[in-house]
Amino acid sequence: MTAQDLTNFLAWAEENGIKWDKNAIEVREGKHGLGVYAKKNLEGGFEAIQVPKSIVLSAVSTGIANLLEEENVEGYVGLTLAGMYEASLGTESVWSAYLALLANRTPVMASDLPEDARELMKKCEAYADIETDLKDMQSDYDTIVVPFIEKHPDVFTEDIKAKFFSFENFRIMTAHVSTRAIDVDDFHVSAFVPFVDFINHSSEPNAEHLAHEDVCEVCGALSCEHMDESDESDDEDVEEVPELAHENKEKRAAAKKAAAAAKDSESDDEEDGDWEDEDPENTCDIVLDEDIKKGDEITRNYGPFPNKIFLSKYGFAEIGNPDDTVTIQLEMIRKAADGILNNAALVEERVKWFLDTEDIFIGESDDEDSDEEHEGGCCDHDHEGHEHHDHEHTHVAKEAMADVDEEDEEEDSDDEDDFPRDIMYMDSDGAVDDRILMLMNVLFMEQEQFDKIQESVDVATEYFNDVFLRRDIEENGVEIMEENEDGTEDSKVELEPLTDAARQVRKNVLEAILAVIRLRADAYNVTDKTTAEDDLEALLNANLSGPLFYGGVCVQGEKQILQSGLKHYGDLLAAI
Amino acid sequence: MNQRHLCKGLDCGKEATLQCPSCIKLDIPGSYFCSQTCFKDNWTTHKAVHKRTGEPSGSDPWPGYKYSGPLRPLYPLSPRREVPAHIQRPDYAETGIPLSELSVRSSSTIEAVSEADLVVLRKVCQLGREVLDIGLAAVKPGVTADEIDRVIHEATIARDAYPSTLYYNGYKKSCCISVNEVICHGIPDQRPLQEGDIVNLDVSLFKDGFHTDLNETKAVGKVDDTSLRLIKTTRECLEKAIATVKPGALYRDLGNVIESHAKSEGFSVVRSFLAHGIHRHFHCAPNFPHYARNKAIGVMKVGHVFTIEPMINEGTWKDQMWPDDWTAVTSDGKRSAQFEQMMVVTKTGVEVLTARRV
Repeated sequence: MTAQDLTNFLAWAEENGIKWDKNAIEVREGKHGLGVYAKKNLEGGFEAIQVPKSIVLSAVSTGIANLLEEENVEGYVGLTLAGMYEASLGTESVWSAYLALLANRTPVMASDLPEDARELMKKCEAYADIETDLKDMQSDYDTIVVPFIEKHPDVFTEDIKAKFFSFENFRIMTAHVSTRAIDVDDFHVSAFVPFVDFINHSSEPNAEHLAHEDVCEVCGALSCEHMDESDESDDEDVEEVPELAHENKEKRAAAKKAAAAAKDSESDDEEDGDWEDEDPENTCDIVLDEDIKKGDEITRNYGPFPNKIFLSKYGFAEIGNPDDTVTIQLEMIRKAADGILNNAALVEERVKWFLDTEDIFIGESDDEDSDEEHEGGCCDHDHEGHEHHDHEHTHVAKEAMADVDEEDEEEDSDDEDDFPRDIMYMDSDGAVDDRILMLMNVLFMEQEQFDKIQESVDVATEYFNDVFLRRDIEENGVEIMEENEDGTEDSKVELEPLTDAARQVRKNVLEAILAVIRLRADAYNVTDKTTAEDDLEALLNANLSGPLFYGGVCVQGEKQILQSGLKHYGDLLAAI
Repeated sequence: MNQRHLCKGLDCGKEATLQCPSCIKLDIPGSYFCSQTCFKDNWTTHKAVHKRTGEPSGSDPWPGYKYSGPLRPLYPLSPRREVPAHIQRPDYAETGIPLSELSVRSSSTIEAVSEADLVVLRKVCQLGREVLDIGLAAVKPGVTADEIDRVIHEATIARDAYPSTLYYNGYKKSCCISVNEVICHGIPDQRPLQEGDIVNLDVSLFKDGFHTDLNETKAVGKVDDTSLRLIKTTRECLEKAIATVKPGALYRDLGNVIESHAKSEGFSVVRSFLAHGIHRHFHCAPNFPHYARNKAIGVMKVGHVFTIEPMINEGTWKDQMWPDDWTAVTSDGKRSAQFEQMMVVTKTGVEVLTARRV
């Protein structure tokens, strides 16, 4: 393995304005390929890396940006084409040293494994995701990439097409995009951020990636003439108010200027500077969240993803991932309920009511449960390290710009309309999500109760609030203090003891949950012949590496969740 | 100075340490404001204070400004020239604001001009060439820049065209005239051209809905060897760049050609001003600089119309601005030359629309 490509890259990074303290951090090979390590003790708040946005590679900064925009090539395919195009330019590309480094370090993805090796992963949910990804990749190549390059024979000559734009090239660059791309801001959206993308993931990171998101969508600057409201005076001439003397603001090019503003520089040497408004703050930064010691790896959290996402999109999986999940199909719930109630029509009626009305309650039960809600929506997207954040497009000056007129405001509660209704989750502790809990109660409640909640939303809300309160107090051991009217905290909220009828409902719910867990286990051939802990030990001793190892981690992780669930709900059932 | 000053803003009176820069230059004391916001709010009334000392006049219109080179402006500028009513105006002629340009700014798309439109555009470009050549012919020692502006203005309207620079973002004249260390956007004033000067005339016309834009640098009488070499090299930079234009080429690669040649003669390339697309809009996509290893986006396609206009400097590449907020000069006061042509990408390469047709 040559370190020359890394040396070249670091020289290139420095030339292009990427900043880091060579005495404080270093890039070297570690457990997961290249990583960034502390060379000495560092304090929280330390800015380890600063990458000017002018050097990120995205669908809007590549040479073929105009073509991508004209053909409306969106999302990861646009970024992948940008990467492939720049790679095809070899040393002529602005990013040649960065891409050369990537070329030597193609990630080994689960999708690279031959079919028979992937068989092992059939025991976990990642398998289906990997299959889907392969199909999608082929489809994207055939329906988007090929027509795009056929349309521009001047750029993609026969020779270039053959060498740099085959399906294999596409697959490899897709793997790079999948494992490296970072959401930067409203202008670049998703991009390769050189150096920052050396930082590996941890669910307990010591650093984070910070970048201003709310930039001008036209030119990417933090502030510019596109965003200003033009000063209009009463005079005939369009006049600009001069800057007060000694004020340290950057002079903005006025609307009357045709060309971009000048770049400030100290040295007389020729620099490879950028012609955009270079605002020193428009960077992608890695900042430490806490003190770290010499030798520690600097990590950040790519997102609260379950292992199946990490495996299929990033090529790894985390042992004991606190955001791991197991999916439960609605069909399993139906089956379990039917097994207890022996009344298919009743089950259908209750399920239907739940699906029709659940949206009203998801909003209500916001307070304690937003984490689980988030998970529910998150796991079904196509990811390349996509992290949820608020979009608030504040739009531009009064001059109406045809393309950018809409104002989007996405709320924090995710995708209420979008998520598939028949998929539910168990979290990494083995607890079922809110929807399962609610649905179970709806299924098993007495007819009288069901009639009442059908009539009144308020009654229903109160009912479910009680269900969740019980869950928090009994299952999670949470203590909830009640406020007196004068605002002082008084006593702990105590649950009313269950009536006999209510106890029966509770019993049915718990039994059904246990049945569902077993159904889920059977569906994936997960047995309890060995414990999850035993499996983990066996895996660590098995000397596997790469996707085979991580596939094993996925399988073990899911088993752990099911095992924890059985214990948890088994204990609760015994206590009744 | 330990004096405490209070803000001059109406109803303000907060403590203030910042002063109006124009007042500083005009030696008007006491114009303190507490913040840029307060200053802005009071600007309309405050600026009357500047008028009291009169419009910029003579060759020292901004007292206190540190010039980077020997050149001085000579005010006052001549009164605004009229354009006959029958001539079609661009959308900014009244307000100065090019609304149509702003509406296409949000896109990286580069428009391809149709064959039909190219027919019209060719004609407009040739008119531009005629006007520039007429202007160049008028260059002689003793002639003022304002006089040349008049010649160019009249030649333009004689061709039933509108001079594109007039009122564009508030610019007050019909062309740009840049002498010696002025890089570009020099405002035609009362200074007579001198033997030994080099001068760039930048002409642009608007007719039948299309703009043209072109410029050349010329020696005034007998000039020194370095200036001759600078002019020759700049022209060659442009020609070499044009030679690489063809479908599939990247806009960002043009800078490599230009800088390579400029550097080989020991000259530098100005970084702050870009070449631009031009057809129905005076300035639009693509936008790209003339220096090497830049990151401009865009790949050339048949029908793209744009300028290449390298500004090459004898000394440093750095520039600064005169207080008129238009005139760009080299920051070491040494000379700068420029050449500009407008062209369209064709199937086989390029057609230079503003070329002199023999």
